[in-house]
Amino acid sequence: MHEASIAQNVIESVLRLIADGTVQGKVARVYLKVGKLTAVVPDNLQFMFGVLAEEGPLAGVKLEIEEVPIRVRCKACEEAFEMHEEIRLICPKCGSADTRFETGRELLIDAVEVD
Amino acid sequence: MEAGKRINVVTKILAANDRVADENRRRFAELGLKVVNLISSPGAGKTALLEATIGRIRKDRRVGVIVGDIATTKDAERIAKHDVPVVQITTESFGGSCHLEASTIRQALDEIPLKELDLLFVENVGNLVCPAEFDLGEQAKVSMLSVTEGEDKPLKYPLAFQVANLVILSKVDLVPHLRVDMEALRANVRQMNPKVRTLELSSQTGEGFDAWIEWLKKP
Repeated sequence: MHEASIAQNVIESVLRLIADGTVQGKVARVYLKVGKLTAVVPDNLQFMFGVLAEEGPLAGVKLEIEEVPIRVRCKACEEAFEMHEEIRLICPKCGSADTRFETGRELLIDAVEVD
Repeated sequence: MEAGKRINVVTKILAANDRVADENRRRFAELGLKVVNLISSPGAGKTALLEATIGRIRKDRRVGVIVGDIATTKDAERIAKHDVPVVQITTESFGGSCHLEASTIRQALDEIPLKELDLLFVENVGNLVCPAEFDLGEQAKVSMLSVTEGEDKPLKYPLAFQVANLVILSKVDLVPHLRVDMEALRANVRQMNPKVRTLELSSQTGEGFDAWIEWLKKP
């Protein structure tokens, strides 16, 4: 249940973007990118954001959460693999251990929509 | 109705936590303090590991401990019996948070004599999901799994093992009594983090502690 903490961080980040002038106008929507590796449950995040934003300057703001799949790239054979049920970092094609997550760890505010 | 205007910002959600973590990291580096963030599920034996570790390392390193729990000070009381500085963070006052954040660590640092320490353990809240996401400014994350938890756990909690600088498989004295497949468990850890070092130990018998103490003493 790190969703509460992440929701609070979204609120503080958006308020900072307003304070420093990056975002001007009334915020209507916040677009998030959340990698599947973070184990964030979008419904929980949406709910916690609603609860924590209530009565603050972001009350009524909608979250649009885009889930980013987990993709592992092998540095040896350069093949990329999308992982769903099980995540494996040893390359399924060439067996190399020299791999990295290309996507799936995102925890980003991508954009803010203002009216 | 006029459509809204979209402003691309691309900001890390945990940027504020990461900034505080970087401040903590700078402070630890200035003090020459090694900070180890210990992550596991509840009951894997984090407190037992620390109790067994303190006795073995205290002649060479001055140790302090920050303990995170949702409620109670029971773990800190166990550690305090070993006569080392210990700070208990109960996250109840932070809404019962299931993990520690960089700012809670920063607060705790005011209550511990940092200049008199060489090695600081952070015993995170027992949980294999949330603590993996939050940088505290530590030098190393140690993710621990007890052999009673089942060999599939590294696959179920990928991030905890993926971010680990060291993996500990604990309670290995129980292996003869269990149906755990140690080869499968080791293979699953490798699948999550192919390059990570794995230590197998028992806080009850002391098996495997030489390698652990040696790892802790490395700068």
